[in-house]
Amino acid sequence: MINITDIFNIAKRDKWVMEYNPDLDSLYWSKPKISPSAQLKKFLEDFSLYITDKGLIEGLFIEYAKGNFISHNSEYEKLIDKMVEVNGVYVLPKNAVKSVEPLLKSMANMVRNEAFQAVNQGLNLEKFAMAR
Amino acid sequence: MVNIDKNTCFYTDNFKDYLGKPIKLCWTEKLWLTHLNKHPEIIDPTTTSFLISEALLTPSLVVTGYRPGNAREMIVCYYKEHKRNGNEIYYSKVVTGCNGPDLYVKTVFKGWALCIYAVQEKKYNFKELYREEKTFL
Repeated sequence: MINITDIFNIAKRDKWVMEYNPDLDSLYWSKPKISPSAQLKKFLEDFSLYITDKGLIEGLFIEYAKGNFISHNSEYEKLIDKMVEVNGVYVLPKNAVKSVEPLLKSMANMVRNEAFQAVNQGLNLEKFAMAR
Repeated sequence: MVNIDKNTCFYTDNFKDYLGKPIKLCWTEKLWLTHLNKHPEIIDPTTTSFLISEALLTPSLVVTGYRPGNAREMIVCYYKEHKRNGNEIYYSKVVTGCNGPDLYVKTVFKGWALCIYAVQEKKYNFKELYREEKTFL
């Protein structure tokens, strides 16, 4: 069973890290190390999900973060504003997570809601998530 | 042939695309590890080079345009369709940037997508440079 309803708590439990790569405009919110069995699954317009062969969600990936996603959802700009540069990649520091928790929760809910919509429109999420 | 040069680039290689255009890759160790961490399917430089080479030489779809949100950076994206299951598609994507006349590899990854969402650049009216007749991308 893919636990799409609880992404925020999965992220908290698994200590997901948010990173932004300005050279690629990619935003990742994921486990610090993605499992080798995890694959990217894109069934939503802006988000791809990392899902393992056991159906566990390990992160989110947004391909064109500022150029696309944030340009349509400007409230999330704050996430990038709070990041600090570490070797060319911007990382949301642990001490800033608390202050943006509502935004992280809102992003998790956005994924959940869009996933529910996709399922209502006929997506077999279990089957798609497990496709290898 | 994968070359490893720890003094300049940890992982470097030279490719040609389907038109014979040369494309370079030169990733520092940090860049390599960043990619590997986020895209474990690239496994090692040899596997990565194979993936890249396959997408560049026999692409299913090639699109070009300015990176969304950055009207100064032209990119070329090479998509390779590996398999399909109904409206679900397993593909790899290589993004190349332009440095003057030269192309260089910015990133590569593999994944599944619903056909309608696989090619993000469609939203930005990227120009199609090549399309394989039977691709669903």
